Amino acid sequence: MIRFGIPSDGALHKDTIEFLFNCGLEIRRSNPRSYTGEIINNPEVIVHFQRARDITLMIENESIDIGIVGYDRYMESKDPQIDTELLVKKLGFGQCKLSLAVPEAWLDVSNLADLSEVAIQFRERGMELKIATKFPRLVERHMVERGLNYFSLMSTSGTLEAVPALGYADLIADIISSGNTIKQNNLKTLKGGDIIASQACLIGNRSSLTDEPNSMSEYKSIIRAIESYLKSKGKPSDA
Amino acid sequence: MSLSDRKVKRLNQMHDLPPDQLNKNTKLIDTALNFLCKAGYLRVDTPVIEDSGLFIRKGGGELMGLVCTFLDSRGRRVSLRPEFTSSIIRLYLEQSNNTSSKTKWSYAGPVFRYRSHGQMMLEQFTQVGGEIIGKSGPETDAELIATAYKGLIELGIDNPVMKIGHAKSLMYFFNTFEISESAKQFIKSNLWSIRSGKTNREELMQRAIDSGLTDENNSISSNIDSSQTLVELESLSKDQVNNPLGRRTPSEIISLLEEKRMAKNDMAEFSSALDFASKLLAINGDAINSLKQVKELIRFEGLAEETMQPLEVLLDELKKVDVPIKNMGLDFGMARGIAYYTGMIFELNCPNSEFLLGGGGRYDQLVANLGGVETDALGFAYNIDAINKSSR
Repeated sequence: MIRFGIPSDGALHKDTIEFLFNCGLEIRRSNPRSYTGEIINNPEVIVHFQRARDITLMIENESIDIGIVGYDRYMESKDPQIDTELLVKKLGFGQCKLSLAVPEAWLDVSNLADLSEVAIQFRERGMELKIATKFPRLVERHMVERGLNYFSLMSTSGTLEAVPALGYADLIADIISSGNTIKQNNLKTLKGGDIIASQACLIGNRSSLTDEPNSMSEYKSIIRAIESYLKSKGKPSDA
Repeated sequence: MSLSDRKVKRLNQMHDLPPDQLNKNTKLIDTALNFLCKAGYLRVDTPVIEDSGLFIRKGGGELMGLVCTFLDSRGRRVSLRPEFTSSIIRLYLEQSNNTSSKTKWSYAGPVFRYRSHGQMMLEQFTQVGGEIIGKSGPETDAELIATAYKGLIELGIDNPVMKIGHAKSLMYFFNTFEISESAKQFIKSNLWSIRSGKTNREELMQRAIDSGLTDENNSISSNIDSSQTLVELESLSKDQVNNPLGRRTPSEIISLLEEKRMAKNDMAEFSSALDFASKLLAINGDAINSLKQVKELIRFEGLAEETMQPLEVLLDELKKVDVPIKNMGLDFGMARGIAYYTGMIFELNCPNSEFLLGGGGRYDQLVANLGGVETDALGFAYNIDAINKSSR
């Protein structure tokens, strides 16, 4: 028996179901509100529909064995002390990037170096640049590695684009797909402000799989089905 | 295996202290505090949990990535203290009516921080330390370093090794290159990763180019009419619904635009500054020898020798307070909060190992950053757990 976590919400939900269908791993749910399902061709796989943000944690604590998540979310919440790994790094859907966006009216800011000057200017006024994000770890590392030290992170779970206008933060670091929402909210992206390029990936907990040798064949058949599909489409999986 | 089958375990890197270990730790803490008391430090205590803003205002993002921060049950953003200094300065500001302008305080207790940026390994360790607030000058620097050094011997560490650096010398070095403030911040923030080999020169150069640090022509700023733009921005700033400028004023935006227009951001100059930093960090050995090597480097690079003056004066002062220079080395790449140290920086190590036993420095901006008037301040802390493992 293998426990397979699938996003129950967000942008990846529908795409994941469609992707698995294309891989020959069609999911059957007893009713649309059920949080579990099964793979039609492989009843030894139980599908668990969980919030995208919880899947990495559930794999880490061995509540589920493998799961599909956004690479950005995985890198944000991964615990380095736990034996989770990327089984298939690029599933070929859910492409997006985590990027910084500042008010369009900041005419003096077009790249990260300019933002660093603004941070210094804020510091001289006894303030810190406030960045709203759902990805504090990734943002903090990106900024510090580039010499931006004077900032504070404002965690938020809601819509970020409106935050600078509300005064809750000065800028945002958010998932950007097309860039239209950013523009509509009078924000702009920056050169050097892309923090991570992401797409859906398959992750798993090696130790939970090896604890249950019987689940290895199901696990391998899922990986085979995914890699065959990606190969047929000419997409590198970077497994 | 279900979660309910598991025993509740101590969190990784959090400490239990069985009787024998507690006994040794307590003795070390008492010895350190008594030593500091004799040196004129009065003991104070501060809370384990503080408003997160305190630590943000001290070290910004550089420190915040190491701090365990969470929302308490009332939704306030709070942090487990990652060190004592910020709390001590907050206490100093709150007590300013009752304290002398020159204050020497000591403290002891647990602190909590993540091992490194982006990692989730939270560690607990015990610090004992001292802070001097309201005293300037290299003789005070030397006094504090001597106290930290001699206290370590009192704690059972024979011949401790010390590394010394100076934020002012670093600032002078980088001011001789025609690079922007953000470029200086970039290099200073990466000194430790250059020295440790974590990041190579090519990677750093690429990161700088990607960030725009070496953009020579800025089409945005060169095509803008400042006075016309100022009028437009002032008009925008009146829109209180959409708040298009955020917390920035039109004149701040214009002033940075003007700076950008004047800035050369020459890639060759940035590259030279980076190369100089790499050469500087490659220098090691005892302080006297290192000082000679740094001076040779400065001459070779055509920089002013005065850049080394703060360090030379400090070394002279240290000779007067009997700190053995032979146990001392220069190091410009210490992994300490480069964003907030303003003067000397030092670390204390166990001989023949890289085991970090303590460290400190001067931070004359911190009181002002936390809301007070600009006040000289410096301090140091021991890591009692590391000393426990290393002492005789």
